Amino acid sequence: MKVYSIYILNKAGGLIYQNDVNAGLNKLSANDYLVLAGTLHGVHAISARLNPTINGKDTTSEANASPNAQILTTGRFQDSNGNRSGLHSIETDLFNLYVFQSLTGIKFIVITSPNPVVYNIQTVKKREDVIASKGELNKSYEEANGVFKQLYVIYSDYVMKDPFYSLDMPIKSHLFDAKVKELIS
Amino acid sequence: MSNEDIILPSASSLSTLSISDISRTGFGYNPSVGPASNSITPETSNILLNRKTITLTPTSANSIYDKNINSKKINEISLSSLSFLFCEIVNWSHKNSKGIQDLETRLNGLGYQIGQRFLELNKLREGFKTSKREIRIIEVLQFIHGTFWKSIFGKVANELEKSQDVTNEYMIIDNVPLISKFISIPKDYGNLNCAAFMAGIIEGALDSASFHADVTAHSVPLDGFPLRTVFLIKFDESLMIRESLRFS
Amino acid sequence: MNNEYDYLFKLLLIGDSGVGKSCLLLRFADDTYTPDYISTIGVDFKIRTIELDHKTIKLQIWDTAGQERFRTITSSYYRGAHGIIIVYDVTDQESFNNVKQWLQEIDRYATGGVMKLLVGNKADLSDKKIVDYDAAKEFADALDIPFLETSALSSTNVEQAFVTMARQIKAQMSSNVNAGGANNANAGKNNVNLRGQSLTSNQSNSCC
Repeated sequence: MKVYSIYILNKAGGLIYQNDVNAGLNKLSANDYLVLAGTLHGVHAISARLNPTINGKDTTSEANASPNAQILTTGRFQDSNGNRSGLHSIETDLFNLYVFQSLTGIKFIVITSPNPVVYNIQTVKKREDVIASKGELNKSYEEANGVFKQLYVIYSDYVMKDPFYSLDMPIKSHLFDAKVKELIS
Repeated sequence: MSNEDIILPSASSLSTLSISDISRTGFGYNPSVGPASNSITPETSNILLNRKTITLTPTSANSIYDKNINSKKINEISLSSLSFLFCEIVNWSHKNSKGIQDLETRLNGLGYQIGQRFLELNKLREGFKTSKREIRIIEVLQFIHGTFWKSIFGKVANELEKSQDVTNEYMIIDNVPLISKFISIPKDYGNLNCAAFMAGIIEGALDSASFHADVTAHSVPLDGFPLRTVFLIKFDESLMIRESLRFS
Repeated sequence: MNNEYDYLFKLLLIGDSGVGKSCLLLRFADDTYTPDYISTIGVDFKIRTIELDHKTIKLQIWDTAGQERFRTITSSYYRGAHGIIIVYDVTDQESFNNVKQWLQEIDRYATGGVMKLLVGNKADLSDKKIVDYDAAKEFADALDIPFLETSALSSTNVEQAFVTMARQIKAQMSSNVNAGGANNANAGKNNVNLRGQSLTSNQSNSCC
């Protein structure tokens, strides 16, 4: 898995960091990246609303009513089948896009090379081959998750602890840049 | 007191309610709704109060505040807490300052007081029998560069140098100053170096030891060490005379 | 690396449909970008770059057209907005009456202390004008919100409104970024002599 690009979105859906760490994607104009970020923000919010109904009941509305009160009274949150974390990944033939959202609403987006060709009917000889190649999807997701975790740590260290950074604004820290580079290479 | 007046305790005390997983609990952030509601109803506040999860003052006898000041044990504090605190110190000083020079002076001033006090503490912890007062410039510099640096920053400074051209100037070099480890100086801040705070600590310690000096922090990055900082120590002229009278 | 802008402000445009929000925006944003598919998810973006105090600021304006259909995620559009512009149509009393409801919406979803601006659009249609300037002004003053009338024809007012808003947001947000600027960098620090020889026992050669 090769990481092409890393985007960071603030909680308002604004693009605060964009780094094409490896060549492979078309360059867009700065404004186009902003539009892309805002669109992903909207899609992410909508997808979080795509919840299955349970016995014909809408599960989102009641769950959202007072989550904290519920936790405090019952000790746990009765979220039967909620899809609260929204969009996780988009997988295409040409690239994969993964989204990770922190508890504070910061979104880390990583665009990577596509999954290895899953399987070609001629090469698959046994049933095991198919299962193994299907595992690739999970594998690249896990891999991306690893990148997020480290990215989140770097962000917390080199962005949040920088007195010259104002919250939700573009990240210009050169130490952060250097660490991101280190992480990817 | 109405319910609106109750301030939700900090996240750290809430975490005792064993809220470990966001997707299970719904605490924290929900992409379609935003941060989970922090509003406290009479019902929830009762639960919070009854569970006695609100601890505002450290009461455990093991807390850092309750330790014997003379303890030889190394007291470790969280680098994150320190960094966030220092972050606020820089912001606060910045807000009150008239410019970059002034900001550095302020940071230096804050560090100065720590240096004065920490020297005292350091000597106390060395023990009455073993501690001695350094009286030569080289000795005091080696003390600062070694023991002192280690006890305050957890490591020995990387280099101690004497100026090749000026007799009363010395340099202590730290490749990654602890205090500014996470700080990137924006371009339009010129050559500001937040390690001015550390320069203040050195200056305070030296002054207390009767070695009057001006200490300034300068960024001299090397490959692999973008934060490398040179602390330039400029001793008072009178000190050089004292030194030559005593030891020549 | 995204070093092209120093600040990114999120502005939100709300108001009844048909009051001319998009027209207004088109006027303001010079470098527009309007692919059609974006409006399908209930929001359109316009981005305008301005310069303030030698800082590049991107104003990303979220035009919530057709948002009645996407009401469930309204809050995610309000969140984190730095400024909100409420638009009504001066030839349509109903759209002015609804301003109150839009303000309630802001109170419910937006961050406290968000900048607000009331705009009466289509001011050029003076013969059809129904909402009186003074009445609107009085309403805005009572709520302590800046107010202006615009039209797609006279865009100068709009320009000023946006820039003023950006200036206010910048001032409000970053009182701590005041001292920057190369002119007060300490020049004295540049020419210090840092050549030295090592005194550390394990390292004898000098460096610097």
